[in-house]
Amino acid sequence: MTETILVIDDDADLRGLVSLALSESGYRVVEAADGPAGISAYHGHQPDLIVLDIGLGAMDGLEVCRQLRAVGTTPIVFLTSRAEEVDQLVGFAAGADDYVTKPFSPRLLVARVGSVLRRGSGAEEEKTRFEVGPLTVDTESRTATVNDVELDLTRTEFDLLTILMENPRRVITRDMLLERVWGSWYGDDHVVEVHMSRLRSKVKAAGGLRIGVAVRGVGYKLGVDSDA
Amino acid sequence: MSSTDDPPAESAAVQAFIAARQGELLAKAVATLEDCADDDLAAESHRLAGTLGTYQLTTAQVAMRNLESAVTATGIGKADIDHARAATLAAMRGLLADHRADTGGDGSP
Repeated sequence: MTETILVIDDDADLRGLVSLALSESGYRVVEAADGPAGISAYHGHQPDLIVLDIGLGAMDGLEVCRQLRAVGTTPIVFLTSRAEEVDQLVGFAAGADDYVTKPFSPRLLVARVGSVLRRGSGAEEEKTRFEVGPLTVDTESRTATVNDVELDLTRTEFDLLTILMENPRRVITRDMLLERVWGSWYGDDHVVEVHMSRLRSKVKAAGGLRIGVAVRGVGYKLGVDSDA
Repeated sequence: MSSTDDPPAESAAVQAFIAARQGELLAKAVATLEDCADDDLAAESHRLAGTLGTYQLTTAQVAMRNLESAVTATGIGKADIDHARAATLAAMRGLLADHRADTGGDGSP
């Protein structure tokens, strides 16, 4: 699928050159000459990436970037003649993904655009659903099921189960569980066993198998096993 | 004298586009320097430096950078601004004339 790039720059000479270089490289290009037109084009065309000049008119590129960031995560490459580091930092703080300073080589800009697009498409999405045997956990909806029967878990029990499900073959140390579920914990370490025991009971009562197998002196592993 | 210094390797279409627009951009820069108010001179020279450099007009870019530095220097007066503007305009007109001569134009701004 052809990726769409929105070029927002009030300098028609640069906009034309950037658009040509991008379209020569196979991208579909949409142009806008100022901030409001750029925001409108963003909503109308849903681009895959935005090349945005910082030095626009009344609404500058930083403000456009902030407004776009408020409504989406489309990658933004800033185009600017402000080469000073402080301006770059402001640009990144506003939500830019990369930064090209003028004067620039169109070829370099196209390469940077390609790089940012690849970074975006290659980024592994955070896994939110885990399935081990009859057990499933969905961290987005915060639901856990055994054989499609939803478990009634407390927040702590759900978090414990999620950690075990994320690492089904790994022994999770008690310290690791304390850190991830309770954060800083200065109380009785047996809190893990207490909650694990309740979780185990609920899974078993729902028709599941024994989970949260203790590994003496170390921690726990998921241990979904009909013999467990 | 050519105003184009070691252009990077662009695609043939991009390079042709750049080459076709250089004369027009130099002429626009001259017109801008002639017309813009003193208060806008720093911003305009800054903007033009980026545009001209991107179009591989490196000598013109440097002239604009120098103008920007001159008009933003501490303690500068009206006479200094006029002098810097006039010197840059002369240089830019020369670059434009050279460019037109190189490309078969009539050599006038």
